[in-house]
Amino acid sequence: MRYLAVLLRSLGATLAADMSYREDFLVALFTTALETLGRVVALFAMVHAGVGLGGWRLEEALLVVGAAVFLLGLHVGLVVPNLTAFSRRVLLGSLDFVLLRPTDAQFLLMFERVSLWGLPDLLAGAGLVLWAAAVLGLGGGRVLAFFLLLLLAGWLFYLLAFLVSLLAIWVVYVHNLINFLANFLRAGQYPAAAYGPGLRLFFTLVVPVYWMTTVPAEVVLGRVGWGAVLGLFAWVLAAFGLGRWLFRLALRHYASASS
Amino acid sequence: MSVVVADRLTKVYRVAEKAPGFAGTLRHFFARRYKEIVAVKDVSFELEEGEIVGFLGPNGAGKTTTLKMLTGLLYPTAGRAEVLGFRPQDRKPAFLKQITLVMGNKAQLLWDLPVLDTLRINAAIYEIPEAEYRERVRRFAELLELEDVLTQPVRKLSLGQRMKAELMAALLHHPRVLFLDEPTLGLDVNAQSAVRDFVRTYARENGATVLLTSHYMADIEALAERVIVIHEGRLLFDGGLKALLARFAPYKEVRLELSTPADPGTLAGFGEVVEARGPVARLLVEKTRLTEAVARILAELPVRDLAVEEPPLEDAIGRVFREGRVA
Amino acid sequence: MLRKAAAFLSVYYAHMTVYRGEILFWLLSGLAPFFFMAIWVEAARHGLTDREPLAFARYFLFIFVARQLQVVWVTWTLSEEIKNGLFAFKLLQPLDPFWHYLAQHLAERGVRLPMILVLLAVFLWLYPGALVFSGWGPLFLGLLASLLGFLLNFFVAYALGLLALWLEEATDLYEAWYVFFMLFSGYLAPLDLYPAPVREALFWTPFPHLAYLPASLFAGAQVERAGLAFLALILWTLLFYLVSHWLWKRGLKRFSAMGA
Repeated sequence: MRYLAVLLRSLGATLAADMSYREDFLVALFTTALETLGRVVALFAMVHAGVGLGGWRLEEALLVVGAAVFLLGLHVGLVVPNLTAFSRRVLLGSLDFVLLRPTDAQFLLMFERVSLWGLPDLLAGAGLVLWAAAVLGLGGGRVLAFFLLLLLAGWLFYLLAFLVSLLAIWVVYVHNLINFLANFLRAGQYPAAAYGPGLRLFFTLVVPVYWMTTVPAEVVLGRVGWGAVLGLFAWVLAAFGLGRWLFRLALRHYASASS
Repeated sequence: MSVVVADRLTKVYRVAEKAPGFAGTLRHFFARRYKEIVAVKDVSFELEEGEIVGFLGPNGAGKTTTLKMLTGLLYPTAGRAEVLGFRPQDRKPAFLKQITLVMGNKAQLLWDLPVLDTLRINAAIYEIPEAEYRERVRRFAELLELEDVLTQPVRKLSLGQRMKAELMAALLHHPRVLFLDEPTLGLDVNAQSAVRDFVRTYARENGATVLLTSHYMADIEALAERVIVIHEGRLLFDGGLKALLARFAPYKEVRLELSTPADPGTLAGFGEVVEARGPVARLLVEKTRLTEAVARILAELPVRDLAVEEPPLEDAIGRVFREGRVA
Repeated sequence: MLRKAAAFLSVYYAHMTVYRGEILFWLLSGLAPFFFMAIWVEAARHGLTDREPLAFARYFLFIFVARQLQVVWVTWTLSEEIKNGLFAFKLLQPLDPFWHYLAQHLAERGVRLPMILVLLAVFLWLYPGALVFSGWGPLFLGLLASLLGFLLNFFVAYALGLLALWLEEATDLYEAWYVFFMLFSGYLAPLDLYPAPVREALFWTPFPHLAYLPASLFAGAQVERAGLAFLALILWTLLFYLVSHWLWKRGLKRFSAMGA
């Protein structure tokens, strides 16, 4: 319960800080609307010019686009602020403050802050998903399932980003590294089938973009069975376990070093 | 002709106000409220060439704002600034080449690179000839004892070294007017003293005019003969340091060492208690009543040792701010 | 003058070298053209488009190169420096601050170039037929177009960065510019696949000339109305230079009213 309280309190604080940038938030909304429109137009143009999208219909592909944009919202809203703060702490040597708190350090580092700037993408992605669902005639239950799967996918992405940051954090300021990871989310806005077999394999086994954006759509559309969700779960568990283990290792290394 | 002229300088800011809590956040988002803050009001003074003047005031008094108006970083809301015959806000290159602003809590040095790299860029910007540049670097490095440090990245230097290097970069182009904003902030005693000596030497050798803000009295005492006191945006005093003390702090400090500690209430009967720690006490006593007070102290308290001294400048200036008005 | 340029470039080059790790990851973040390449190549393999897979590979490769040469970040730097007060130091110097940022960008390009070349080498190894050398003329013209494109991007970004004096966060506007760029510069798909009236309308916007023009020149393709395209590019660059200059004058007044 305490974790929930901590979560709400710190989210509230950072949110209030962001909200003082009022004009900028409006600009961000406008820009995201434009971007999302751009993505839809791009999809349209590609299909029109002959790209087959691996056999997916335009409306179905829109689900995937919406998924990717929603995840980008989570990226901007959660991953970026927390992991860059983490990186800065390591750089300045102020990680100690976090480690001295009587709460799980990894939880604090990952959920200390939230950024309002993620909201436009979240809204745009959700909007796109709802629109595509309406066109496809998907029921409320399926839409809910889709969003739940997206949250799971988002968590997977975060865990992976955290893992990668851990590996690099003592060497590099990770801001651009995280940006690089978000690139894969953008790749995920097209159904995996649209890419050649090589990339498809890559997105299934190496960078699990397939599981993050295409699988939720496939499951909800009935293209694959619900068993595919287990694949997503497996990835989450693996990322969580590995991340936790690495984090402990890193802390031990950090604590034994001086200064 | 005066080198620096401040003529009824005034600066008013408009700041958005935010109430705490969630309701406050919402209101701040949808219907913002503004407040006017008068940072500086009607401040006037003039500096002649070669003067070193201390600019005193508590935090938020308007010192930095005034300096920024004199360097052209801020436009005054009212009044006029003139430095070396130029209007600072015009930002003419001829003007900019002859001044410098050093800010104690901000660095112009490139963080990840050695000091020398920043110096090289500055030499190019200010068009310092190569031979001149090398000579100046050598001289400054010698004065500041930075010879071995110049090739190290700035982030590896200690705060004291960084500040000294900052000064080097700021004075490389031999400006005629120096605006120093808290240059010794956060430095240890040695570094502070080194900075002071360097500024004094530079000013003397180059005939520079210096306007220096600080809230370390030692800086002011060491460098300035004239002080300007600013409080809540208004000029409070402009004159010699001794005159300042005579006007606002006609006190002497009496240091007592007692054989048994006296309680502060008793001590207060003799003068203002600055410190009472066990057997040691410090009192501020007005000069006119000094003899009488000392006599009474010796008669009524178990005194082991007694000394009469000038009070530390901090206390004196502190009273000025507490009283907040000129006579 | 030359001395200033030399000092600026050499110091900023050293500065950027310290950040080579970040630059590498940033370069890797620009791999989107390769993803689009994969999609179009796949479509071409299934015979759904009118050209060879290799043609698409080549096109997107050069789009990648053109884009990498034009990357700018001055919007962020300017916003940051204005917010944390370091901008004041640049104002105190007898020099337009814009030179600092330009030198920094040019120096970064020097650090980035070897990385681009390494990536090209890797790509060659994967797709041996893709890289073509179309002759020194087209290469030079492509580089010229890329340079102009860089300057255009720079002035746009600088102007937007100056907007940080009015808005508190202007970096999102640059994102909007980037969206237009993606849609209309040939980044997503070769522009000759766009319907003719659209292409015609786009010709007088700056976007096609930022990516499609240099990429086509590098690939040695026949670019229709290349001369006019260059003219359009030059005019747009000039326009945004003037806009950023005007904003700078206004911004100075604003900065000096609000302080740092």
